[in-house]
Amino acid sequence: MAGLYASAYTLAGDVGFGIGFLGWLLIVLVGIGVFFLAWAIYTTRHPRNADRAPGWYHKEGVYVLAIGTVFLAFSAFTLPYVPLMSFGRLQPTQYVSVVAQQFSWTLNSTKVIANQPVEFMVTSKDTTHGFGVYNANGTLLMQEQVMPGFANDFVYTFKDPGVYTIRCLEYCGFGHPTMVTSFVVVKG
Amino acid sequence: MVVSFVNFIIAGSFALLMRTDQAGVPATSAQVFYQLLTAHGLGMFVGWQFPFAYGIAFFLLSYFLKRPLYSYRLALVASAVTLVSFYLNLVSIGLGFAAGWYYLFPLPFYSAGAWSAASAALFLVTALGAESGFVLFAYVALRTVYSTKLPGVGQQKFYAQSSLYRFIQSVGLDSYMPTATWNRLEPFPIPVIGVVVSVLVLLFSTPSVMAEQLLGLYQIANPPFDLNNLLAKNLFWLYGHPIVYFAFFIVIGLYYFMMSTFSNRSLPSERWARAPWPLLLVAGVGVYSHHLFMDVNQPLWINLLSQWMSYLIGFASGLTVFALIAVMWRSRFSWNTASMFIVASIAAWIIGGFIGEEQGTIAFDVYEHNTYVVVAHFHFNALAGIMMASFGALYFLLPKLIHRDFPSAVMGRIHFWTSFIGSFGMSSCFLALGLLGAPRREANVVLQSLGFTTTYAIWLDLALIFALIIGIGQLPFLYNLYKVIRAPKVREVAVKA
Repeated sequence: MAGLYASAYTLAGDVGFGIGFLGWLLIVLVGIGVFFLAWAIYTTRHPRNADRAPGWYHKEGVYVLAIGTVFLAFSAFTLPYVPLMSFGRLQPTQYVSVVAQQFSWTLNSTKVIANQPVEFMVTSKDTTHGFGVYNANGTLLMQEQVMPGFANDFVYTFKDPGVYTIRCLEYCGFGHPTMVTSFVVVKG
Repeated sequence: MVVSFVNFIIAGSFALLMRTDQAGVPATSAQVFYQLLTAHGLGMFVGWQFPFAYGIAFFLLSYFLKRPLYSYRLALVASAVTLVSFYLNLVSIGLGFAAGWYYLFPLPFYSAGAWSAASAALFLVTALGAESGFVLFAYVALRTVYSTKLPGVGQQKFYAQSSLYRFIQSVGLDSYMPTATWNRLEPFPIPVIGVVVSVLVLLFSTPSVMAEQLLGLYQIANPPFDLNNLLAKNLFWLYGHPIVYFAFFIVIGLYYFMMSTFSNRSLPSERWARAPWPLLLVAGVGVYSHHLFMDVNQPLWINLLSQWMSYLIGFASGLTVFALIAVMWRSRFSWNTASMFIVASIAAWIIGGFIGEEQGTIAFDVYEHNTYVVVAHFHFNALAGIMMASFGALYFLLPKLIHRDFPSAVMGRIHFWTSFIGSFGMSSCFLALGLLGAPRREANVVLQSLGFTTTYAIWLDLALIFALIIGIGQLPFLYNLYKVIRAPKVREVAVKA
């Protein structure tokens, strides 16, 4: 687009995770960490060898190896789902131009066909906005920052027909809470 | 330090008003809400954190290095410049400026008629003033650590070494050296390493935000705004993220000292206690771009680097928590108000840390960026973590600094339990809101036109209740603080090493 920095990448949606998975992952990780702290607190009721450190502490190398492996695995597991890296997996067959400005959204089309990749080409006329898409249940499906002076594009495939909500996810001024609109996904 | 806690009460009051608003009891207009949002963030990050970190850092340096500050007068000037700038910052917000404490460019110049260019300019000028105060503080702190000309009896071998070795030891790099070298060196105090790493991280970051603010002032004088917004965002977050570690890293250094004191035993491994610090020094800055994960124009390699730096922070934090749990394990642990605050803050660090690791993963951040999950992360880390730890440090150190005991242990316990329940409860509500998809920085999170947002209401109401518990819980603290300062000097209280 004229006058804009070119978008280096296109954000491709449907990256394979959901907020439910992340919630459970968090419960497991936090549970493990807090369990060990609680256990340590409990052991202070029965002090033993108080002047010496516990023998297991000298297994630091095992700890380093274990936590390092977990982080490496975590990184490798999620890498294919990094939105920018998944560019190319989705070839758009429909396009929606979106203009953000304080405090409204303007879409050139409010109808999207399900199960066909759609490219949202989002620009801002003033300040930075956040393009967040919610389904009818209120689940946040996808988002990107809408930076003025840049083309901010992403591709997404909607599976379910229905009404979807766009809500601004970056504070953009006093009218920010009112910056909401919707579009419809219909069967192909 | 006392001033910092007064600023905490002020900034906390702003938060309480915001909670009231969001719980559907409108106390303010949207305009005032966003002014409060700006003042709350600024009040905690600058008004509370900076004077607290200055005070505790100056104490730790002179206590552990057994030498005076490089310049007491300059230290006072640094504190005064920071505080005066902070209060003038608040004046600019009172005049209408409400772009958030992070004032994402170009928002300060697109107020939609809500604030004037003059208030934006005053905000930027006074922010520059606060950063100048920090640079002055950093100068005093680093000269105190590295100068070979100051009188003092501690760390004589340290000051007899070359400047390169002094630097290596001061950031914990000696822990990675061969055993023969390690054994030859005199162990450098970990709380001082915490101060040095904290100061270096922020000192490295500060020029970028000062450049951004100067560019902003130039833009106000020469409209229209045509700065590269991506560059401006990078310049801000290169400082805006490391700033959250300023007090945190100092507190982590203090953890090692306080936990071994409470446990009545020395650290199991002096070497492993120093190993996390070089990692924190690198990752403390390198992690910044996770604020730009959802910017499609940010170079991918920078974002991937920040993802791995987020893991490195988690790894180094895990090493520390591992060591602290080992110190505590089956020890004759002294349970008192100070130690309860410290242990609770470690729990918060674990919870907030894991939330942060999720957000530090690009593929996950798609669902969590700019939602209440972020608010939960930094309230677990900053409020239930750093703030609780700072209370612990205050209960532990203040009697030793002013040679007076806190008059009421009961008041201390009430302060602990209300702060614990309030801060963990409120942060948990934020986490629930975030997992529901509730956006942050909204004056009206619940919208009648959006049916699914009504599920947020219960969590906002609960968050208000927990916020009130935190607020009420500070009253016994203020009582105790007033009494301890007014109380007669009773005895010398030694800090146990």
